Amino acid sequence: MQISTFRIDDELFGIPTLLVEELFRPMPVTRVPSSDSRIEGVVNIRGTTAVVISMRRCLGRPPLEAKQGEMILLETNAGLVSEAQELGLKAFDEPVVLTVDETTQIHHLPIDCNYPPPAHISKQFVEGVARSGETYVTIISVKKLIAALHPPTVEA
Amino acid sequence: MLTTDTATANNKFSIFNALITNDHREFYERITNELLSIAPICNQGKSTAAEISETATEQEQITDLMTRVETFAEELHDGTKNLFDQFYQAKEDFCKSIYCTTAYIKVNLIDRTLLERTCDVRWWAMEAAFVDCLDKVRRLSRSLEKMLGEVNEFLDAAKTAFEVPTLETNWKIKDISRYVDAVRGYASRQTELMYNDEVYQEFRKKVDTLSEQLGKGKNQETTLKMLTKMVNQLEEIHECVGFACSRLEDIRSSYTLYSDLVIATPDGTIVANSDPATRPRILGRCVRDEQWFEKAIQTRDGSDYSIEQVRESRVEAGEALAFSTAVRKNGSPSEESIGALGAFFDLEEEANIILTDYMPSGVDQGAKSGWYSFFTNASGAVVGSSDCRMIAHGQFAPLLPEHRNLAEHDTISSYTVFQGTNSTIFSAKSDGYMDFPGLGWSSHLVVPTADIFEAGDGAQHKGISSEELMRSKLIPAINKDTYVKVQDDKQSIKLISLNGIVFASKLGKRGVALGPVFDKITQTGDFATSKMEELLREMAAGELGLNLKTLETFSKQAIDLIDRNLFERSAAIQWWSTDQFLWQACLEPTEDNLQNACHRLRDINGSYSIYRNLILADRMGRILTASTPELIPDVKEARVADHPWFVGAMRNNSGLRYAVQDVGACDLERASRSTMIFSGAVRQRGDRNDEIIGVLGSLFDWVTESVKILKTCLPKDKHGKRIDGCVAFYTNRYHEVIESTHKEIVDLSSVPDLPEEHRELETGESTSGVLRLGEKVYIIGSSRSKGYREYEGLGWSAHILRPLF
Repeated sequence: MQISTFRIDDELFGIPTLLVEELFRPMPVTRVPSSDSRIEGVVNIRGTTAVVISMRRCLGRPPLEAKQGEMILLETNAGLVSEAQELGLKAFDEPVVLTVDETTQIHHLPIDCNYPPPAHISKQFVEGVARSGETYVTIISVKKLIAALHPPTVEA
Repeated sequence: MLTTDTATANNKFSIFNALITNDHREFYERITNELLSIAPICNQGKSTAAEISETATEQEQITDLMTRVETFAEELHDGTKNLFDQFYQAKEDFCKSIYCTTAYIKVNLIDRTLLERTCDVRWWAMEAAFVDCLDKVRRLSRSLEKMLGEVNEFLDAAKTAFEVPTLETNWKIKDISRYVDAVRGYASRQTELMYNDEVYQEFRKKVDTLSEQLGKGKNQETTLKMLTKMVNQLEEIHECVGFACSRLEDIRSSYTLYSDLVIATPDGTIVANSDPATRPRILGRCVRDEQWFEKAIQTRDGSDYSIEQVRESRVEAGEALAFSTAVRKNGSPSEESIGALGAFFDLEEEANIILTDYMPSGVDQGAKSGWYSFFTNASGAVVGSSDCRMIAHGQFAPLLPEHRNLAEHDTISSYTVFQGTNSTIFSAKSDGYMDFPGLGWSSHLVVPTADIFEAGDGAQHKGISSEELMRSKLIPAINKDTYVKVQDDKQSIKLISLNGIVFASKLGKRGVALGPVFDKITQTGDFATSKMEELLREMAAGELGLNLKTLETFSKQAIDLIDRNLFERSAAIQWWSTDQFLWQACLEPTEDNLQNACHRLRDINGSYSIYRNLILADRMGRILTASTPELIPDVKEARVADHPWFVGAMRNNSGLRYAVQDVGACDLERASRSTMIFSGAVRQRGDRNDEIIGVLGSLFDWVTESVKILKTCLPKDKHGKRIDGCVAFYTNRYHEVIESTHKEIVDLSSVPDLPEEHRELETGESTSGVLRLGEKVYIIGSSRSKGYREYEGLGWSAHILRPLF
């Protein structure tokens, strides 16, 4: 499986590439009233409105300065390719953007490379830890994200 | 300062420019090769797309992506080219500003020295000893001429008187004839009799012998009287000539800049000089047809002077710069001229000091190979050169017309081949200094072009991080923009290829073929952008290096200027302390004598604004008089016996003939925290070897003069505007601040926490680095005093700070 990795502070995280639609530079986020600080607001991507979720906030870290970081637009359930469905991957129903410090690389990993998350790290959004060569990547569970943030508190 | 570029006006540093270093060429080639390899990869990607796509949209998407990558690679390629241009342009600009400034500093140092010399010569022309000497010589030489014209008649008469043959006298006639003839021969040698001590002594002996013989005869009274009168007059002349000579000697030994000083009568006869070794040869010589003399006699009044470059003179065999002016009746500036004073400035030595300075040193203490520094006069002939074998004195220097025809204070630089080496010549023309208009000279600095573009030693960052440096004010906006652009490009190329991979992964097995294509694109993009970042960092390091060097140059200028200024003070105090009125007042402190001394000190102080007070103390340390006694608290009760300046001067034996009290508080001046005093011993009869009978002290106006110099040495941008936030200051040997341009940042008497290398500089050494003062980060250049000629310096250092942010 391919994993798209990104950096938050000095740590590497990853999500399955099949769940990624596009990576892009930060763009202005329109703030919307929300009780959930993890939701930064909405952005307009080529005519489609997407909800912006701050990965930093999800991981309990202070936000970056404006105009920093990069964005990951996730696939919607409707857009998932058959391979993803076969793998049982879950996506949001509506367009969602994750903000990260920096997208880094795409790793090809054998599926059995996944280890359960070590005991000492927060399990809230973590699927497990994958190893690629000498580097360890914490795999984010999109499923858990959906569970935590769904139903979205934003009225689209 | 206007800077003109000739050869470099439209210079684009394409990679084919000969000035680009091999390292950079290789660097460029590697980037280019990498970027060029993108095109075939993209083509491969396009054909893969055609093979694997199931729909037209899919193929289009991949082809589009490839086209974007191609365009982007081309942009990067152009960017790289521009970057090299920017890199070299920046270095060129910077070096131009440093070396043009250096060339200007050199000619400015000469101008400052020459200005002092014009003041010297006008001041000395008023010296009573010279006025007296010329007066006496004029008066006495006329009557002497008359006497010498008649002497033969008298002698004939005297002989005749002996010629009455008697038994008694007969045997004497022959003898008398011999004696008479011996004296008679001198009648036509008036000049020699007057100015040549040896001839005069010979003559005296012969006259004595003759007189003795004549005394034995009868009716010889008139002749004897006349001979005595003649000898007395000659004696008087020799006495006043001797005194004038010894005063000139005092000047020369106080101011070591002169090869000789002479006094000449209105008809051009030299009556006194300063160098005892050449005296027998020079005195009595006629210089009527020499330019310096003619111009001196023709000066309008006491404020007028002449400077002549002298090639061959009867005074000086070698080349010199003659400063001259008229000596006037009663020493008064408005009276008619009664003679001329000529001071022969040793230009060669002075030029050597300045020319060999401010140059990187090579082997054997000489300048680095290929570096030359020289002065040319208004007609373009070399008047001083750091290497006479390469650039000969008196010859026309191989200079482009633009370098020969500069306007005042202008600078210019050109690429050229100089003595077989690709070099850059930097030239600056003098604009004089204060009321000295300059002599139309230019200063030229030749630097091998390879040395300008070599990777500077700024590579060591001296404690600043690359990031910090990149953000700092030192880095020009254009480079910062490029840096941002490169980082942006880096991000773009990363996103393009990551999205490509994301796209390919959705194609399942079909997308696998695209994998290597994007890998390669990522790799190439990373390589090119990080190389460019590397180059930008090298550029920033180079910029830092040159900035540090500039600060070193300015700190060196600051310490040099003050040392040279203080040399003048040390020379002046030596000369003044030999003044007749002063030693008379010390010897016999009568009302009159003290009054005279006071007037004298007031005169001196009036002519030199750089002193706050001049104080004469007796040998017990009691103040006898001063130029402005009212400034001294409790002047009647004041005792200076334990003051360093007094003690220093009293202790002076042979060697150093002045003493100096370092800047600090002093109870002679309550209003100031910064008093600096030069002192010289006053001796009996002003004789250098006689007993010390008092001390003369001069309170230098340190604050005004030092601040003036420090401000001159503050860094400026290329439009000549002072750069904000810079600070210049001096520290004494205990590292305490003795003057500062910005006391709110570097305060007086504080001991700034300078880096070790800056505190422990060797004599004459310069260095530069980084200084963190509280929140502020500065770059700093420091130079330690090496003194100047007889002024040894006080172990001070000059420091220039420039803020990074």
